[in-house]
Amino acid sequence: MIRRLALRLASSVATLVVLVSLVFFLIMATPGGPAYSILGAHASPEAVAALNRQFGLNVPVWRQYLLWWWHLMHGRLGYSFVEHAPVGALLGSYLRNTVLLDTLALTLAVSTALVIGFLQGARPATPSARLIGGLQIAVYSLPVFFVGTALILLFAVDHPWLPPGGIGGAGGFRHAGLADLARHMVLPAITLALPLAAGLSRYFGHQVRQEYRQDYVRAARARGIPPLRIAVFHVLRNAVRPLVTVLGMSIPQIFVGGVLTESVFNYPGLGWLLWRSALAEDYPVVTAIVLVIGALTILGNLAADLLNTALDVSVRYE
Amino acid sequence: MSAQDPALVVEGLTVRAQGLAHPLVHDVSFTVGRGEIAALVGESGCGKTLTASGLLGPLAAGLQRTARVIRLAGNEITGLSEGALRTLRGRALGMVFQNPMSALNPSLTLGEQIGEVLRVHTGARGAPLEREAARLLACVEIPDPERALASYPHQLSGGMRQRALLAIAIACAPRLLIADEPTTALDVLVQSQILALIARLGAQTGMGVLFITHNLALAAQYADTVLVMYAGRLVEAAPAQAFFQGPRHPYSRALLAALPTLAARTAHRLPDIPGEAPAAHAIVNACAFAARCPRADAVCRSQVPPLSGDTHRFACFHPEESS
Ligand SMILES: Nc1ncnc2c1ncn2[C@@H]1O[C@H](COP(=O)(O)OP(=O)(O)OP(=O)(O)O)[C@@H](O)[C@H]1O
Ligand code: SF4
Ligand SMILES: [Mg+2]
Repeated sequence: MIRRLALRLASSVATLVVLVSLVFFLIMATPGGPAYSILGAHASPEAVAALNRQFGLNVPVWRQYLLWWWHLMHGRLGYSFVEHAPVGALLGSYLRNTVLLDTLALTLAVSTALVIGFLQGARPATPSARLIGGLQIAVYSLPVFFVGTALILLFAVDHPWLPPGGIGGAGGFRHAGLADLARHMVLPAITLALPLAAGLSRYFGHQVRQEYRQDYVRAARARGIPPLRIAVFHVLRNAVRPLVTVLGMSIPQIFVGGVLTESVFNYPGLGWLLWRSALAEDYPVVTAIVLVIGALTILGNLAADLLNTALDVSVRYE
Repeated sequence: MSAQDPALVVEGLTVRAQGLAHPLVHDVSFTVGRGEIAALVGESGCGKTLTASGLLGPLAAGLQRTARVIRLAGNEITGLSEGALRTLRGRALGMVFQNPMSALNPSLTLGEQIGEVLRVHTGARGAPLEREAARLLACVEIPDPERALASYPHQLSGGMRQRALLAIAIACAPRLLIADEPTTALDVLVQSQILALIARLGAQTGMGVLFITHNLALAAQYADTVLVMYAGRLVEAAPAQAFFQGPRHPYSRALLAALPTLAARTAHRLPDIPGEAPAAHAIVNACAFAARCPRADAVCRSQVPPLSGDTHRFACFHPEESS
């Protein structure tokens, strides 16, 4: 157990090191060198030369690599010449907004998936289960832009019940009270949650159906265990476990969906910032966001894996 | 209910599948006495499992049971509602299945699984429940019951798992135990240990046992009664001694003749008899065994032989000589 934990931790750290190094070498490999990736593609040669001197970019690569780690470990993610602010300070509130939105969307998606997947898996042969199956495929393949725009048109324009985007309050990303923030989060959260809920519920439905076919369920029925108890204590319990792994694996999907969703709704999160910084060629910000999202993905997978280890007491059905 | 009532009396048990004109199990009648072991044998697909699950259910979707009489320890259960039947399952009737690997939930401890059936049927809770669970494990001769209670199925050997399933099956002191090929997945030595244990438990408590098996050697060793099924019907039913000394139905005779010695302990399946059994629902007006029977004649091909006789019953127009 301890050994397995240590191994898993070590592999996460290794992945992180690879990620950070990869980003470093990508920057080094940018045509014209790192100065361009800091100043942007249209920087003047004088500015590039000045920057190289200022940041010590003319020292050997290995020293730069070590320096890169040194700065990262001190939370120095670079300086945005577009925003005229250190990147680290800039990311904070965007990161918070994204975490809020993603957590809400994830909660929505998982709870929907649990309910729908169970109904579908417990009675797979009914017309309603087939209808759900069709809807899942349809919803899963709807593009975020389409869903987002449709929701805005329906619930913000035609029936102006909810704000069409942004986060309210002043200054773009400072919200005006929790209630107002929540109102702003409803549509983007639904947009982000829908395809995730479709995929997860389909998977969970399949899992529930598989569990219901197991011999131990037949045996439990034969010993007079009531159906509700079989559903909750046996089937759900065993079907939820693999869902944790799938959830861990869908974290990148959440971030990618997040970039699109935040852009459609002008929601000031990391995804939105990434999109805007890419357009503005604000490379230090783009780099930092890639690092943060990468690190979050690794962390999420690690958490899913640890949770699974805690749940997983046995090799099943050997 | 009196002490003399047999553990099980079945008359006219018939199981039909939706969409099939003829039943899968046809008009089966037999009795299992208190403390007795009745061995139900027959080729794969002849309807043994359906006969067993036709008693109390639950039957798979699309299957339907009818019966004139099904009495468990004197209590009539035909006509009971599904809810009433459910309270009897696991309480008045215990079940042990073929595969001890998969009949336990892999993610619950033995203690949780024995506890569940006790809690559901007896309402026991807390410390008395745990004591009772440990006592049951000791009953089925699992060493170190306290530790076994905390183990998961995968931590136990096949034999131990089957013992644990047996403990669950007898937890509520049922009047009848159905053991559906309980030892097929186990090795030879363990098979006979489990059977000996079942026989001991039956003798101690008066619980009747319906033992479904492909292993005639085990049947010869432990059964009091032998029931032979063929294509959905009972074709011979007799006290074990009479049966093994002189089977009357040509099918039974062929089964025994193909068995090298009664002590042959390896048989996981019935010996091969040339030809193939027809599906139960395919036979209309003929003896189902006619196509494979050396004694078959025109009569056999034009009507179904009735099961007749007193203590030794068989369904054949031209039975083997009794010896
Ligand atoms: N739910 C069902 N619907 C339709 N036919 C069924 C169903 N369950 C079983 N049968 C058929 O009924 C017949 C008897 O099945 P059963 O499981 O009772 O056989 P068995 O004697 O227990 O065989 P085995 O020794 O292989 O366990 C088989 O031909 C089987 O295909
Ligand atoms: S009735 Fe005829 S065919 Fe059937 S077993 Fe007897 S002799 Fe054979
Ligand atoms: Mg069977």
